[in-house]
Amino acid sequence: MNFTSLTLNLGEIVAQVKPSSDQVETGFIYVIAAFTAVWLLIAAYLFWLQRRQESLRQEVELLRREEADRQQTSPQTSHFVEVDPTLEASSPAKPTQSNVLG
Amino acid sequence: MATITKKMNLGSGSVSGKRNFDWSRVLLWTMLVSFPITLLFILLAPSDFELKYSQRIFYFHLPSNILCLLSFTIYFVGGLGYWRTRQRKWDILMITGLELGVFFSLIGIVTGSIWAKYAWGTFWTWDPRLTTVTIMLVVYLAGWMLRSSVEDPNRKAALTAVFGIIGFINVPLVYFSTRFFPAGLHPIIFGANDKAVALEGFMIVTLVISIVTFSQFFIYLMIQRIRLENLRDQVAGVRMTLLEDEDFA
Repeated sequence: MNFTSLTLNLGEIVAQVKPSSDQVETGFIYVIAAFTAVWLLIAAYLFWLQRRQESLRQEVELLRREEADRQQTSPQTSHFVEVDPTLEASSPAKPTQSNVLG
Repeated sequence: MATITKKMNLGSGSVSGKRNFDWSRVLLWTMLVSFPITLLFILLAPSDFELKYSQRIFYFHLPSNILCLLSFTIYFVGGLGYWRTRQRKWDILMITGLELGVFFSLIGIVTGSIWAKYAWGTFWTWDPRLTTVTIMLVVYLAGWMLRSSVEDPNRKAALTAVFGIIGFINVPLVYFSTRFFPAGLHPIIFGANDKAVALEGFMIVTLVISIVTFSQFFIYLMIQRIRLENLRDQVAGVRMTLLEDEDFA
């Protein structure tokens, strides 16, 4: 039994239940109806809010992963390549080979 | 992207790795206690002589309507703030106020209609309060739809601000509609004159508890809604970085 058929069966059962005249006269049934409507609206809004948050969270994660992958595969594309100015100076200068004997 | 970096920090809504104290979790736990207590008070409250048991709808009809007007006031404040500063945080406040205002006005209208069926014998009547509420809802829904149709974020925020400022004229109209048109079916709730509804001591306590509980829920929803916008900003921020990287490459 799937969710839709379960809901339909439940709806049929609820529809068969008739409120007593006393419940209608005192307005009890209206309180229950209003209370149910409030909770349904709250549940629907919370579900919608949660779904939107979740989809955005997933999107952020996906984009961050893509960004990290891109940085790993092509580090030369990063904006600021920090160059150590002492790197060139400290390395021993390659002796220029003037002739075969050196 | 300077506007995107200015965000409202409200706990664990971000995925940036920084963990802050989560106020919404505290509110959630508090509500788990306050909602059953409110329900208990509503059940124990004395029934009205004329409206009998149906009068209990009042305890969630009135708080939702108060919060609806409060939300649209927040939207108005956000609109003014945005108009002056053009900062993203005011835009977030505007959309939060707008969405929550529509949500609470829907709760108010639905519960009111069910109650009206018992009290007045019809789900809907063109009473001054109902008419002004309907106009208010239509105006704000139109503003929301217009916002959704615009792509440019600055234009979107500017249009929302205009709607928030101009549409706010509806809020005092809704509140004072029972005073301006006393022939309507809605009673005056707050007031010291003889026209105001007289509530018993226990009824007032129940009403206050109900308003407090609904307000907690309102704050919780506000936090969640602001988080949603912060997440949107994060998506836009990361997308922008990726695009800049592509351009640089």
